[in-house]
Amino acid sequence: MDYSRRNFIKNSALASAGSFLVPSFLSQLKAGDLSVSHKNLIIIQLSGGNDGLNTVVPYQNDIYYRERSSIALNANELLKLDDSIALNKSLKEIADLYNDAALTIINGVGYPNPNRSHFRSMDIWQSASDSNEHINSGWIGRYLDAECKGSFNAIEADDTLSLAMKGKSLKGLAVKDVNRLVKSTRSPKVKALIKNSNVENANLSYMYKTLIETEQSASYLSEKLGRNLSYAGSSPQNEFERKLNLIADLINSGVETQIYYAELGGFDTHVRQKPQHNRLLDTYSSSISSLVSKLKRGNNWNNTLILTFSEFGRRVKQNGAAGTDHGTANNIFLMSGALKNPGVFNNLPDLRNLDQGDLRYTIDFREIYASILEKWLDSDSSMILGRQFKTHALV
Amino acid sequence: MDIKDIQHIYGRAGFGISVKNQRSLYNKSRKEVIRSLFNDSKSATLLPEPDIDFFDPRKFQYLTEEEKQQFQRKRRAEFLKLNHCWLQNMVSENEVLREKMTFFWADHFACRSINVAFMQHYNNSLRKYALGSFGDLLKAVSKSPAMLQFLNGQQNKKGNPNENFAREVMELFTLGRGYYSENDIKEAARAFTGWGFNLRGEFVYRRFWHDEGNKTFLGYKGNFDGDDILKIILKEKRTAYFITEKILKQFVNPNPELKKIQEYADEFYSSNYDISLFLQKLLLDDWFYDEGNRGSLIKSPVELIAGFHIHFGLDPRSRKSIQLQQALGQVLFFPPGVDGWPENTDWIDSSSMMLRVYLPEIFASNSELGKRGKNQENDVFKDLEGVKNRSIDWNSYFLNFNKIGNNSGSIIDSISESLLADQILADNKNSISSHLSSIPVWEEKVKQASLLVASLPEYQIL
Repeated sequence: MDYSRRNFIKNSALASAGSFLVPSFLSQLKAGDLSVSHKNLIIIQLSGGNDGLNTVVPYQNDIYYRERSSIALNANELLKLDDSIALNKSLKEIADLYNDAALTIINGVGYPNPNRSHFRSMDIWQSASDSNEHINSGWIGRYLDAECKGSFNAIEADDTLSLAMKGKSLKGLAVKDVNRLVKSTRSPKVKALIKNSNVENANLSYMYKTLIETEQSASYLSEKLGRNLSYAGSSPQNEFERKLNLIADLINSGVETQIYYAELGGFDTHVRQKPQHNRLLDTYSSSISSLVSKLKRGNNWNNTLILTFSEFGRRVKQNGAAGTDHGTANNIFLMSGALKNPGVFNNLPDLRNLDQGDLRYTIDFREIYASILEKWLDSDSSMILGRQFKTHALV
Repeated sequence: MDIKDIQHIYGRAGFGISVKNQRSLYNKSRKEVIRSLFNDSKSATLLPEPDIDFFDPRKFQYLTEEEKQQFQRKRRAEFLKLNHCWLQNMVSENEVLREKMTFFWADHFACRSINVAFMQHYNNSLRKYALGSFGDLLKAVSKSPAMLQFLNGQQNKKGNPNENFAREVMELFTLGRGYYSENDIKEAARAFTGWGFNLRGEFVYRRFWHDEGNKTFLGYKGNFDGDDILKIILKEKRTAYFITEKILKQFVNPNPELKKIQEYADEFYSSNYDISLFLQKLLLDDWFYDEGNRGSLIKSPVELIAGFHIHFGLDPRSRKSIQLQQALGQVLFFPPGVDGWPENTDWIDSSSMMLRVYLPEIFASNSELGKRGKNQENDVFKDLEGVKNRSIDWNSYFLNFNKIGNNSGSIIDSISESLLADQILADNKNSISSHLSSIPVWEEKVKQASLLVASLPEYQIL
């Protein structure tokens, strides 16, 4: 079957009515792996609006201390990276990655006319839309569409699928527990359903195909994981770490999946920010560290890229409840054994030049997406993002 | 009336119809059924006022931690009650058309606020005006505190305009993209200045914030205020087309024929946007009943949940009804954004499909669903432990089928006819039949067949 982009609409079986075909790439996979080693992308979403200023700290800047009289991080709460930037001390393992040239910090990432509503801004980041557009598909979903993939090519470690993973015709697979998914797809009820063939109605056809694909993907993942020796590891403490463990195991088992998505929530620190924020960053840091170790053991650190983002940063000045309110531009972390430009990629945001108390962005987030799509995933970013964005030498 | 036509009307213009009520319509003509639909919706069952103090942000900040948490708990409890009340309205099989239109308008005029009194008032406005003139509905929505707060209407002041409200009113509620300019938005925003609300949830016009100057909007010049802008928008035939297209997409077919859209839009416009007349024309139009339009829609999560409760006589005021809304991604009173909820195949992915297949089992069994769905900031429905679960009254349900014999084929046929909008697939009928052959007791046969039919993808289409 021809998977070139020009033909994907014709071949996109899910879009057509009439009797449907089982996606044939799945049966090809059973015959043997398609490619030897491919690049992996893991997207970590910090939900709630991570406070960038207390994550990547301008510790030499007086304005930082002046505007955050009680929540600014002092010297023994910081890990200095160079003579102007420090990390929150809770990010100990992330600092180690920095020292190993495995971390790129990108400052001031945002977009024009920023929206400070969680839902709206998250939709903007996930759909890669402009601030005044409403797009109901996600950038990873559209990657699946463009590259004619199956839903298992993008896996979200969750019960439900995010907008980011929903394309116009193809969607990723949401799974938290592969064994549980396999069990439910092998129940008599579902087994009976997927025996149906020759379904006329387009909607029914779509639903039956989705069920078939789910069952086949679950089998495929389970079969691959079964052979992975590190799967029987120690049981992780928290849910986020469990998600990352699943991702590590899937990558190390050699599945054809290229994109993974995981969320860590709780970052909406309006009240008494410090303890909660530090705790979350600690969870993030130790879980990432565990993920990286596993990838290294599986020889997958050099072909895996981790992107961490949040839907917005927070305001420079603290509020009256020892917290911060919704802001705008934020930093992004890229982590991999194969970064082109490890270290601090660009200047810290200028705290003297604020937009009504908020940071101004200097890099549009879609430039990061474009860079990853083109240079890491070898894909046509302008088709996926709707237009051409500048790319950077990140990967 | 043919059973399939009954299913079609009640699936599209309602949330489904119980088996008992289906039977009562067999001998009625299409005209009679439609007439009683409209008569039944002359009244409106409004949602009750929440039992909570007016929210005053200035006072709130001075409360103790304990008092604040108590208020939040109360707020969450009242939202839960409202969600259940709304579901109950849908499931009650009263004022069917009005409730379906309320649900439609709640998606079209999507709005969310953490102020539960504002949302109750807003939802009741939708209900009051659901079947009247679209112009009255548009005005009520635009002046409601919930919407003004959601779209920053109150922050729109002379000299310091906030264009959010003006933009969304035009882009999403009336004209659609491409039928106005950025300048129109700016001018409209100026005209809307002064529109606001007070703590008691009443619309307030603050003259000192209103920009009195001359404005140019969609080619018209004048010293316009907000009401004038809405009038001008309604004068545009494009508004009638935009709304018509949306209604036809959700009631008839995702791709309605252009000439049908134009036909309905023209009449909608000349009737001065009379929603009832529009629906009457539609429900009496042979085109609505066309084979090509059957099965062209996929139930949204709420339609699926409400329909299931209607079919199985289940009280929706339960813990699981909330959990299923969350897990399937559609929670009443909490649309994801101002562009409303997704449609049709957008609802379907691997996990939501699996959940829909298991939905009957979840409601009919004692197993717990647990917390599913995305972490929402300010998650309103987190204290669900105290909320009870409900059981299906199977004895009442069985009464619907006691004229059917013990033959598996007849049982499945009768149940499929009563629950599905369209035919059951032959393979499914065979596998359910095999399953029933190992079940000796009639009641258990009917129960299992019913739950299995409701698990089918066929149950998901309208």
